[in-house]
Amino acid sequence: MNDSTKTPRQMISAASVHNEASRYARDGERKNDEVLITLFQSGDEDAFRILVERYQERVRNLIYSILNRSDVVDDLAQEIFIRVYEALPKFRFESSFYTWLYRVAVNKVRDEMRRKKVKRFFSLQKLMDDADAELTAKMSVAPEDHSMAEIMNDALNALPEKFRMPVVLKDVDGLSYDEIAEVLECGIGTVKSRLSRGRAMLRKRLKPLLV
Amino acid sequence: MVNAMSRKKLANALSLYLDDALSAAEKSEIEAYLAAHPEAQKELDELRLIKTHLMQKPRLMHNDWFWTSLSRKLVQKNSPGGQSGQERENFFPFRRKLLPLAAPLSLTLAVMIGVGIFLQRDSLFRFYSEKKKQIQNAYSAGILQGKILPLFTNLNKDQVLRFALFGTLPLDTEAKTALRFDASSDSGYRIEIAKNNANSVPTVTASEFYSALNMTPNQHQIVDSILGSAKEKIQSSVFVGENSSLAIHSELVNLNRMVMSNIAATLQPRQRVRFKKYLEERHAPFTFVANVAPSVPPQKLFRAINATPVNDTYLVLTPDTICFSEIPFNMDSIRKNFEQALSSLTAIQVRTHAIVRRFRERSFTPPSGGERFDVRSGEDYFAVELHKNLGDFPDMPMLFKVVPRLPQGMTASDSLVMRFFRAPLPPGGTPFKGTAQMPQRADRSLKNSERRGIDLDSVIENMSKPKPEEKKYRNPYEL
Repeated sequence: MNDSTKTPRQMISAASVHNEASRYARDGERKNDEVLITLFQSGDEDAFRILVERYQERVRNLIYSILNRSDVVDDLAQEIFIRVYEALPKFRFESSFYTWLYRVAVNKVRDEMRRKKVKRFFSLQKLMDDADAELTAKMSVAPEDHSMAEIMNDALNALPEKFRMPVVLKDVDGLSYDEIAEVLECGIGTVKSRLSRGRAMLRKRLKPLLV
Repeated sequence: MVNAMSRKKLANALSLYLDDALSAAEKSEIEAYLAAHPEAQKELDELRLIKTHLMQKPRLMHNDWFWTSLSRKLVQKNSPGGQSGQERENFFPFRRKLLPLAAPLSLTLAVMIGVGIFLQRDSLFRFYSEKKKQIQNAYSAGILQGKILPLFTNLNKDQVLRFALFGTLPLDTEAKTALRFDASSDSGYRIEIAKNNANSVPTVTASEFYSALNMTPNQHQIVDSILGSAKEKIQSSVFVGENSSLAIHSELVNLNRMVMSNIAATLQPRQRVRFKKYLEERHAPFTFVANVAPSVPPQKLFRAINATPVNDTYLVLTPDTICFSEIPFNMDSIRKNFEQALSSLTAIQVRTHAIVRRFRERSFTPPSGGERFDVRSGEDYFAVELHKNLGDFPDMPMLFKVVPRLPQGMTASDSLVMRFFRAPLPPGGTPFKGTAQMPQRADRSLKNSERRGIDLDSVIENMSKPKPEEKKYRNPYEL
């Protein structure tokens, strides 16, 4: 909506929100997500930058935890934030930005997994991808954690996607059941059940090492 | 006593307990259960350990350039003509949203094509069969027109024996047309193609020959080997080629004498007498005499029959030319081509009669210089007489020299050989003379009056007969 089409009341309201948000920024206080979204919706592009910098590592690690591939993490994370950038003007604050962002991220990762399945079916790219992914993964994590990290990554990767997602969101990212249900767009009972089964599968797989 | 829980219920309860998501009552209940069931406690400990490891999962290193690259993409995307990442990644020739439709459509199309092929299978089979046949025909025609083929590929033992005794090779199944060789004529070597001579060459079979001479089994074996070697030599000595050309190896003119001499050397004195009588009774143009001069042993003669020719000199006859030519034939390649042609053809068109007809019909301009040769022709024959020793041919002194058979009171010029070949020297000289070195082009002023040539079409049948089983011949003298 252009300024010329806004009513005076709307203009005052938007200006006041902007002023308030700017005051938070000047004060260096950590503004909550809603304020930043409001600022962005009112045209402050810097607010989006703050949101990105706040969540970029979580999103990157979420992708990494699910896909176990660091070579695609940044590209995917950027696509997620581009999608957020495009959808954020329509954000209606019906859920927290945090869970909404996670939902966008999880859906994007699911798309990527499906796309990879199709692509690998039709091409010989798999071998190259796997080799690159392995190398990049080893270079991206601290050397001393290689062995345990690799074991956990392998075990997680072996889980079906519907059980892997709740485990990652709960045990790696620390989301609550409600948040996970919201992110995965399913009931809490389903989350609990899948989480329980996912953990049982992990335990079965890792049992020889759990001494 | 706490009752045992089902596996699923226990797993759910432990998962919730781990997350501290149970109510106080449920928590105390599960704790009591854990106290009573150490294996459940152990399971809980393991789940807790896994959770701890997952919580401590190494994190990715911070990417300081994340925003920089993201903002660049955002600027790119917001610029006019910019594409979204998703659109750029689309490697299908249609919009991604149509992807779910593409799979069933592709499947339907594949099924339709498969059904179409199944329904039209007879037509397709016919089409490809005809295509294959056409290709085979074209291939075979290409082989026959553009390559050289051996003329005698299916000689049997009787025919080789007839060649040894009478110097003739059949060019058709009824022996009406024959290729004849004589190295004993007064004027030199003679090669002749003649027809209507079925009566002049008596029918001789190997078995009848063996019994007439009362041969022992060992002698059978030796003579079989000699004839087998001669057969192979003949096969690799006469070829037909493009434009009805005929190539005859120069060594072939002496082969029948070598074979006859070798057979004679195999026999006992009494058998040799029978052999001479046998030749006489059948009016053979040759006989043999013991060589008083030092001669080669029969083993050496046998080896000479088997030996690879020392030269590649061929007498080449084409409808327009007679010449001697060095042709290094690759016998393996020729045999292979011929077998391929035979396997795909029911009949082979070899028309050597064109050579005969052309020579009969042309006029002659005498050349000058070089070795002389005469070409004689009549209604049913044409002959080439070579006034030279072929030079490289190993004219070895044989133990039994093969000579023209001369009845009492007959001179060499009126010998049986001459009468046998039915080519008496005309009183006025030779009708055609040429040189052995220079190819002679024919005068193309053909006469239209007579075009009756020697019909060699029945050679087709002879050549397309199944090849007899290969027999490996060894030197019988080394047994």
